Amino acid sequence: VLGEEFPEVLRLAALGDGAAFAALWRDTHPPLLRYLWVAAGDAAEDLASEVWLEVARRIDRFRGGEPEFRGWLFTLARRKLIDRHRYEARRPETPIADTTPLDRPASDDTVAAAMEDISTEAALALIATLPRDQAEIVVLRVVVGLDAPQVARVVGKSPGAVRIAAHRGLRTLAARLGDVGTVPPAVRELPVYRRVVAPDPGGVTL
Amino acid sequence: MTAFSGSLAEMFFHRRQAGRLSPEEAMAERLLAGRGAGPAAPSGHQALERVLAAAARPATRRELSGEAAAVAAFLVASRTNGSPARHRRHGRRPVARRPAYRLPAITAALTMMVCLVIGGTAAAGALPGPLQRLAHTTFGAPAPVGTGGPAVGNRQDRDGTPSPATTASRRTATPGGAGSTAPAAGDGNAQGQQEPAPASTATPSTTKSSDGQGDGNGQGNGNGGGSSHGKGSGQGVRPTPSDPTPTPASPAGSVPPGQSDGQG
Repeated sequence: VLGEEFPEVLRLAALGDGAAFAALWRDTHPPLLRYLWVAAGDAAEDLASEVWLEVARRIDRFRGGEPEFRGWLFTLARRKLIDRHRYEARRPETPIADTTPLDRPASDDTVAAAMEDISTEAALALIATLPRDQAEIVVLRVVVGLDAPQVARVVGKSPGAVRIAAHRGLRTLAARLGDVGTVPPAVRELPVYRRVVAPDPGGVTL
Repeated sequence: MTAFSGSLAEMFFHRRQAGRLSPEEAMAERLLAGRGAGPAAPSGHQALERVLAAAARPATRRELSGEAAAVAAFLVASRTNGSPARHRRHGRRPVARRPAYRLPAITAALTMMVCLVIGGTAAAGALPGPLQRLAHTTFGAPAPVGTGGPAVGNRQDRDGTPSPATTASRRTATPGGAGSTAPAAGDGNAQGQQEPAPASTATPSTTKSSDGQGDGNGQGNGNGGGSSHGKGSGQGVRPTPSDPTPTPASPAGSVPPGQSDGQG
């Protein structure tokens, strides 16, 4: 969080200053990437690049403080996500059988990994097993740090609906954490295309 | 789904405003806000707290590895657009000054076009009746047909020359009685009249003409789109045997006075 420096950083970035833009990017890119990864999986990097290009084009028109900037940034990100989902709906991709186990480990593995070392990647992978709207809201509240009204503006729902979705998501996560090792096979073989990154020797791709 | 969520949301807000969050809701809010579940929380909540805290950890080096590329893309975008802010500010100035002189010019041009169109239509006499009358009284456009102005179709009828309309009406005339010797007195006298007259009614001839043809009807029929107001007092025409079209000055034949070609 830039805090008091934010207005000056924003002003310089609007004038095309690269260092100011870098400060903005360092502050907000990690939560943006995590949000996009939970919502769109492997497409997160591409979507984040598109979002930042949009920011570069329109930053001179933005007016507001730091919370508003975050809200604007994630609103842009969500629009890119929606466009991506529409594109995928028009051109559905069927994962090849050989790559499916690498792309999508079973839910119990995710829970176990989250409980063992609780890395950021494992925690995000566990959140990504929630229904998409709940996962989005949990990430926006927990990772990005937006409050319920700000999240409501980003996702286009009422603050009450946002709170309820977040509570349902937490309840589901708590239930899964409490059932480690007892995940039923039906959940383990979920056909839902959840983009959970497979662990690799060099670390988790994020 | 929306209604259900909405009702739940309202319930939640009412309860929240009343300060009566359930313990589970209060715990969820604490976890979402990153305040922790507390030492007395159940183990499930503590595990959930650890997961959420891990998801919100500071950025990793890997996540920040694309900074140089992002800044380079930003600089390229800035150069392409000029500096976005400066470029757009320069572009806005002429836009702000345009309406000062454009609006009156556009308004005047539109008004002139409308006047030309209406004037031309009025000069051609093609406006609806009331508007044409207004145009007539205002700037001397032709009066609407059938409202007192000279009807175009009357001229020919006064001359006794059958217009196509009158000819057609005679052809469809009710046959007169055979053996009539009354002269066909030509066309009816069309008289433009102000007040609308009842439609011409063809009266069947009761006298007999020699050729069996009588033309004692009158059909109010105007040329040039005139309406058939007015009453014409006409007399039937006895057609010649070779030509079914009646001759205007046919001397023989008595046709009861019909009403023909009244023009208003």
